[in-house]
Amino acid sequence: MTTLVAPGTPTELRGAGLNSDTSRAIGAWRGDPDWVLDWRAQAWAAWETIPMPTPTTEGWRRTNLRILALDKVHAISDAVAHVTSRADLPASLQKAIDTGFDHGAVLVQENGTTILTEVDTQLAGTGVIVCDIHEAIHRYPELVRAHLGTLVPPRWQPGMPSNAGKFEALNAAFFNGGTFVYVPKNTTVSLPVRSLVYQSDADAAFFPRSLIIVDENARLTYLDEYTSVNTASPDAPPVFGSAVVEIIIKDGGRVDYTSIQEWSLSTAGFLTQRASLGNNASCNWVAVVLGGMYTRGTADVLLQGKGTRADMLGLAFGEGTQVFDFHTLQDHQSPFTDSDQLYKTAMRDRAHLIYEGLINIRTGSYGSNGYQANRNVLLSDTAKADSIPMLEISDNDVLCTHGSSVGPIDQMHVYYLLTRGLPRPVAERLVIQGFFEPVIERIAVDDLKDRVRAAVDRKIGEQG
Amino acid sequence: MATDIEVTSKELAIHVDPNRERLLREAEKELPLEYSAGWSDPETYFFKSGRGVSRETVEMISRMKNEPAWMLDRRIKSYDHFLSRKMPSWGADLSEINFDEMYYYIKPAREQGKTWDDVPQDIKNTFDKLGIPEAERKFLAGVSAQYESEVVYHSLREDLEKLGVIFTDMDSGLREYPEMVKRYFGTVIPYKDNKFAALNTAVWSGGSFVYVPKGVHVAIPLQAYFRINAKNAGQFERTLIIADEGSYVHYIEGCTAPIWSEDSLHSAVVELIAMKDATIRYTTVQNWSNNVYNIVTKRAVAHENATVAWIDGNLGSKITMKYPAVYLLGRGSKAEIVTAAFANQGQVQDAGGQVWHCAPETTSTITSKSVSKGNGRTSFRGWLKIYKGCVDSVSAMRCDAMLLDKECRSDTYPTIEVDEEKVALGHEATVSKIGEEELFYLMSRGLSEREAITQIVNGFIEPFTKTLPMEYAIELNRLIQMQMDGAVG
Repeated sequence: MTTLVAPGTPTELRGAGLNSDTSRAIGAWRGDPDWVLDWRAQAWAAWETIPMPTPTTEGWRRTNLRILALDKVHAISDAVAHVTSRADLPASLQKAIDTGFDHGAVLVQENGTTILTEVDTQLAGTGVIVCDIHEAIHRYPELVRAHLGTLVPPRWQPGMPSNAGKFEALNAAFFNGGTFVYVPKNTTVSLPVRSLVYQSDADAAFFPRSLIIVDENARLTYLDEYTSVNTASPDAPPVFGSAVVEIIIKDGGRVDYTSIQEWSLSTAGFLTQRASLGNNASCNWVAVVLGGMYTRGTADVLLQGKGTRADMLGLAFGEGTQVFDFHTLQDHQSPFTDSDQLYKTAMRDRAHLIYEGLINIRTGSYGSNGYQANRNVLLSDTAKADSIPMLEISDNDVLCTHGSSVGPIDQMHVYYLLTRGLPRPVAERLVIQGFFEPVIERIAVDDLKDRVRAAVDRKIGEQG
Repeated sequence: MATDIEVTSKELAIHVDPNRERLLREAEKELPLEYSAGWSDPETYFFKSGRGVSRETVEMISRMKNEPAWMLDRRIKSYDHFLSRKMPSWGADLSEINFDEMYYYIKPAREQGKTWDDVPQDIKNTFDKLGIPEAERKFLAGVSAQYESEVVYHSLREDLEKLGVIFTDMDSGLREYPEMVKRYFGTVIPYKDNKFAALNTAVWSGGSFVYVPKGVHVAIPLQAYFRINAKNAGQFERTLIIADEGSYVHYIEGCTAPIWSEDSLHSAVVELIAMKDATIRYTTVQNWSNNVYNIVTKRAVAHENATVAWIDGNLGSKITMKYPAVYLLGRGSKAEIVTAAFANQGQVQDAGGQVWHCAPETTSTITSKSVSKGNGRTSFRGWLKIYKGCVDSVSAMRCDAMLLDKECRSDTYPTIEVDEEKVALGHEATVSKIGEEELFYLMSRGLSEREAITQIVNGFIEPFTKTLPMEYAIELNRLIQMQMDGAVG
């Protein structure tokens, strides 16, 4: 398999910018079949056609894209050598994946190259596939071709807003790296499958594209982690990237998906995650966002089948001048579909949260329930939160509610802890942890709860 | 910590008549059940402009009104801005409005009446049928009746006049109180605010000018009544209400129009200024026939400890786009917005509310109730903004939507922007259909399905109805009953 992927990045690609030649060259180097090359070309055309969002574009009014320096970004970085075992990984990555619980599979990617793949032998025996996306394109062409881009298309499609999908198209044109998972019918993957995407080259963009397919009545627990380095100097343009994850859950399937974004504070990135659910399928979805100077997080759940259920949980903690720009969609397309969303955030210093969530109940989706809650805490008087929970309801036999709130930390809670003898910083940290706990509690897998708690504690602890 | 907030509204519960419920029920039984305002009168106008709007039309309106130069200048600037501004790309579909087909200025009579006897017979009959003179005698402090572009009748109780209360039409206001109008006109809603505000500023005619002096409490409401009669008529009234320090005023407006097949346009601009400690309540029950585009800009500024309440009911029109706003400029000022919308077959009610907190210790509540029937569509758009430094501000926004049929649609778009940490703010919304259990209970008590649904809908919008004076509450319940019967649309 490794023969398909050239060992090093060709010299002509070193330092190449974002243009159609580079897009083609990446495809050639990756040994893409014609349909993928064509796909990249369409995506490049879409990137060029779709206008760059401006502060007057609907859905981008609060977004400042001027921080990006797309003309300076390298489209790809030098490929990193594979390692044979976990022990050979750089210490930081070793520490990152060594979190004290068992995995069904681990895929570690650095700068777009999969450097370590560990798949439990028992798991492989059941027909479950966990591999690099490029490897999957060659080894399982039919499976990949039938699903890749069905949820996040490489080009604009009718029904999408005219400016939608620009950075998703950029990902498709340059995609390099990403994880492919297939769980066959009636198969349960009980131990988490884990992907760690690490960007160590601050000058190059990252464009991972993951595809997860869970077949009928199958079950998967997936942990998706993103980290990146800081830029060499604070004045350098931010580390940039656009990651896409497509999750296809067929009839009766279930996915517990947890993503943890811990980019460096000099990273400005896009993270688009979209899942579709077939009849009676369900998902438990958790998006934890802690890093990044600017994060545009798009999380969409398409309830396509009857009787589907989606839990969507979000958690973000911001400090410094971090900006979180979240856009979520609960798209009810069939009868008897339920969705329940809870996004909780805490912003400190000059951090800024933008939350725009939509429940769309389409005509004919009778018997559906949609729920949406966005709770925001402002921890300092310079922090900022904009909350736009939206409902579009086109059927009457439904129940839909949403709520959102913004306010400071509850001083009565802090006061109580102070009277018990705790110093103020500890008391405040406990109250924030308590505020996030309802989200963490709803993560389906205990090991992942601890993983998220640790990440949040580390982030809050940075402030002391 | 962010928690759910309940802000109870004391200001709004004005009428606590123990017999209110019973009186409402009795009144309902007696009233006719069709769109009773749908007739039209022959057009025997003093003056009617040609179709379409041009610079000449704008100049002609100003000339006929004998206006000062600054107003003509403002009109022309606004007209230019109207031309340069694109139609709003969001909200309801306005592409069918044909600006060239409209009549922009229709003067129904040579003179304004001081008593109902002075009003031309046809027009008087109209207002008689709508019950305005009777209402004036019974429970109003002042009445203004606008027919097409001009106010044809106008009165104010003598005692209020002696206290220095000004309640007149906007044109007379400009003539008689030029300094005050010049000082405040367009300060709350500049003509560049939006395309329709620009159009209104260019061709405005009629509307009310109200000034309540310091400390004067106008205990009973002032009312303005707006009627469009002609086909393709555009009505562009302009209202300015100034409540001086410590004063109180309640202003009510009602609107109807005949049912024509051609569309009419109603595009008003309403500016309210509540000085220190003043209170303004502004109540609208809009019942345009469903061929009227109703696109209105309403905004208030509230100074220190002032209160502004917008009570906004939208039952009629083809498309309504209206988002009453309050800018809380003074410490401790309050805003209360209560809206109710009923969208029947073919109607779009795109309503909402907007509050900007620009000072500390300000509070606001926005309550919205909407009902959709047939393929009717209701949208709620809210914009709540708390600027940096507005500490200890509290805001609660609540919107509930009820969908009666499969084909109807309800959208909720609240925007919440908070730049200040020390505030408490919450938003809640629900969308649902009529509860099967409630329906079953009422029907088991002997009500027909239609009666039961009407009861439930009336109960659902009760938070709105209870803020209305008795006579309006009766009218509103009757209108809803009419909507349920499918007598309209």
